[in-house]
Amino acid sequence: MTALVQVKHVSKQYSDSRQQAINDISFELNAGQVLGLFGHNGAGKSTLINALLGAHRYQGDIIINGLHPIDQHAELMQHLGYISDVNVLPEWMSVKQVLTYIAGIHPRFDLASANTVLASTDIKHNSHIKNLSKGMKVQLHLAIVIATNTKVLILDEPTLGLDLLYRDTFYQHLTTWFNAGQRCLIIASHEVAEIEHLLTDVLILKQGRVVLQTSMDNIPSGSLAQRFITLQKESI
Amino acid sequence: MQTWLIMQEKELLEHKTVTRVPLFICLCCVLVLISLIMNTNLQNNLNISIHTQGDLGPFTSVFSANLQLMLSVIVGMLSLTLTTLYFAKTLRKERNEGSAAFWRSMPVSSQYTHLVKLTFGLVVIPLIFSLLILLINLLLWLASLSSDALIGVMGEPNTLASVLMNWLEFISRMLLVSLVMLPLAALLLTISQLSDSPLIILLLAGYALKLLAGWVFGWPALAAFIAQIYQLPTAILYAESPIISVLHAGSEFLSLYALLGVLALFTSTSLYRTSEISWQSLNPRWLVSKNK
Repeated sequence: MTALVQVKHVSKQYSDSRQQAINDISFELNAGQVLGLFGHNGAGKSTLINALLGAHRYQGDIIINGLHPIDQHAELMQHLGYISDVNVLPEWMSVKQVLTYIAGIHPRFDLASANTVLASTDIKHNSHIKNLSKGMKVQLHLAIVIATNTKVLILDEPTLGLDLLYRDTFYQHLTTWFNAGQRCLIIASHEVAEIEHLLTDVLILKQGRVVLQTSMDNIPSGSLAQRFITLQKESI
Repeated sequence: MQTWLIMQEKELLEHKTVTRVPLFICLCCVLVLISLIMNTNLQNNLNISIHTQGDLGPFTSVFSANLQLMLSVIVGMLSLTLTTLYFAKTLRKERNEGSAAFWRSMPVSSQYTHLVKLTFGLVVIPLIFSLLILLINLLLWLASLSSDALIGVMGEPNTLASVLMNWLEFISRMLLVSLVMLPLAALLLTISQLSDSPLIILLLAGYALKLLAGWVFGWPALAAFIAQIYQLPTAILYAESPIISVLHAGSEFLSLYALLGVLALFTSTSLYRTSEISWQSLNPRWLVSKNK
């Protein structure tokens, strides 16, 4: 079985920096796997995510669902979803307008599915995105991703700044969506304990290098946060 | 086709000035017409004394042609201004407002995005403004039906056919302007990905290069080339025969200008493929790769 995500010896050095942002990272993810991507600020999580999304150039090879992130970007985006800690939805659009736009552009988008998810929230179709709360924006974005039926989803601190109720609803929707198909998930977060129970694999970065890459089977339940802190305190 | 239409609709929603400016002018024109019709005193107080021998026809047709050219220039300049502002803003806006990652997450290639944006700026905006010309001419035609002599003279065209002819003539003139604007549009799209002030850079760099080429380096041909780039779109607007002004530019200029446009378009589409600005983006290998 071909892995949904194949990352081989990926490195990235920014032109204005002497240090490599990420250095020789390799991993594979199959359907059913959930990778937790951890690291302190500046460890290279966002750089790796940008490389996976085809937003930044990199050295090495990345193949997602058999497609190259930059050279086959448009095709890849039919199968790859991304939600970040900051809102990227166009604030000048209304909920209805953004849904209509995606329905017309995205061949895998199911408007009825998006409406079903939104029906369980307080989001109104005629609301402008700029008037939604941060939690509502994340809910809307998740509804869009769920309705696009993507195979790979990347989450970058998705619940940052959300209250407990929104977090709970978010993870409920996420788990339901994940269990409904052959998918894999990458979650970058500082909230180690919050997402530990969701993970099947873990990748911890420090100064762009991998300091821990293992299956969650090898980590005693409830000890990931402590392991993360210990690794961050150790020098490379 | 559906994707194209949806993306055009998105541009219309995003850049509301494109529809609001012509709507505002429409409203003003309608109000002026209404005030002319309602204000009978104004008509009584107006006197135009024309001393001529023979047929009045040539005078009205020349006046009408000048009126049409004036309308065409004013509305055309407005359209050209909004087109220029649109190209300077469209890619920069999504980067500045933080929605670039969302648009990049859509299954649309860089080339297709550019095609949509170029079509919107060079075809849709002029077509919207052509509706303004159509409306103004229709108002003049309606005014001429009121059989008032003054409005009748000023209000040429006085047939529905001439209203349509003027409209089609404006569309063809603006499409020619758009054709010569294509390289400049590609250049603006490129600069807008590198800077937050693309218009200032384009104007300042253009004039600085023109001055340096003419006065410092002694390359008058380059100075003339740059001057021609900036003048050609407006020259077409002002010309009685637009196609002549294009041909007047010369095949050498047009060839070099087209080459500049191709290079600018390649640079813009290459840069837009990733969200970081990198010289690696300009490697043309992706154009010939089977995986685009």
